[in-house]
Amino acid sequence: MRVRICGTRGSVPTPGLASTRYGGNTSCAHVTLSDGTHVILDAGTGIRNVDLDGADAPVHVLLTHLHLDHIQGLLFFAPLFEPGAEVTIWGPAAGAIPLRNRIGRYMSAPLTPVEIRELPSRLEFRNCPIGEWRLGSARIHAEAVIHRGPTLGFRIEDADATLCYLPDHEPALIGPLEEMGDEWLSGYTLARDSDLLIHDAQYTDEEYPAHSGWGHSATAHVVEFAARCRVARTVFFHHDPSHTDEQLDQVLNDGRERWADRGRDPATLELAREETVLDVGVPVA
Amino acid sequence: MTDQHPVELILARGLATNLTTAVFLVDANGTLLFFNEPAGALLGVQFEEAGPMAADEWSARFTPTTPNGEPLPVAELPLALAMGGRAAHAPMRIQSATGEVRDIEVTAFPLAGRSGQTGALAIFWDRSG
Ligand SMILES: [Zn+2]
Ligand SMILES: [Zn+2]
Repeated sequence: MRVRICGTRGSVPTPGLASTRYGGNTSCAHVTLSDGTHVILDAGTGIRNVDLDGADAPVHVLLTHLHLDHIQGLLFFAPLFEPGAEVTIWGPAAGAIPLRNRIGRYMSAPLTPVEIRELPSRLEFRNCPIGEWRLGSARIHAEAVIHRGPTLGFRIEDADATLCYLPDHEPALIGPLEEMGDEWLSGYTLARDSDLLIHDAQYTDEEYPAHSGWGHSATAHVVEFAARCRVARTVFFHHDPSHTDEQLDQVLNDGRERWADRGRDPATLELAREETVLDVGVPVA
Repeated sequence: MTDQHPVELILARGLATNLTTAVFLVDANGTLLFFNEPAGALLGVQFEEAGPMAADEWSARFTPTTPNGEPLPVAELPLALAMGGRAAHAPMRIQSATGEVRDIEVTAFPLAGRSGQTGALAIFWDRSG
């Protein structure tokens, strides 16, 4: 499976000179499964960077939740405007209001010039099943995780490789991770033994106390979480909009130091950069 | 391999840890997952010491009876009713781990997440003294 990072930022896009290296688009990752199926994880403004390479195969957009930074790019996702293009948008269920109507709050007047019903593609909205289900060649596992509002995390297993995507996640909300058994660790079942973990790392350890309960993690949390889940490779994601590239370099150094303190290879911890391509398991031809 | 509890149970534990009311948390099988410090004070033992317990184990250990000491069938405990999917409230008498008899009231309700009911939560109200 191949993962292309299309948007790395949390909360709000950050164009400008201070974010040229790590990127300023909000959350989006394009996963190409071993059978060629396209799975787009979240629809932040980074979705504009998704290159389907002219493929007319069905596209699946998996939304972790409906915060604006994860859906803002939907209106700029080219396949939605292509007659006949098959796009399925999967998102968390929330009460009895259909996903289409909840997303329609954003994609409707007066906020946008286009209504969902005007889109010429064959667009379908579906509540994402909780638990395991199949999509193309992959087995998807979706579970609710700790964030603000109904939020999912995803585990994608395909051709002996495992990716875990937890872009907005605050497992430390209920207490110090070190003191929690694995069974009390939000996201553990999704992340354990994965080859690649893409995880919320919005705050530095110094910033976190002032933002406890906002639904995000700090450097030390991600390092502890990744170690506990025995993850092979970790990518810090959902960068705080106030962090410049230089500050993010510092976050990386700090994370790697902590990772090395645990006897892990610092090179297996990275910061998400827009346009990075990560092969998980066997490279996709 | 350890399985993680559903997020609503994790959040319930987080909430319970921060409450000064006594809270007792079980999973869908009735297995005791956690009780907080105020509940520990009533039960005469703290969770860190007691650890998780199967339903028959905790119901035998704290021997709940009616307020006048009549036996109380396990199936009629508020937590048992809550595991069946409805809220329940009852006065009862329990025996703490240190042998003290305590009169309490128990309010229990089911915890249901997006994958269905995954547990139940009880609040103990101290009516002794
Ligand atoms: Zn976000
Ligand atoms: Zn969010």
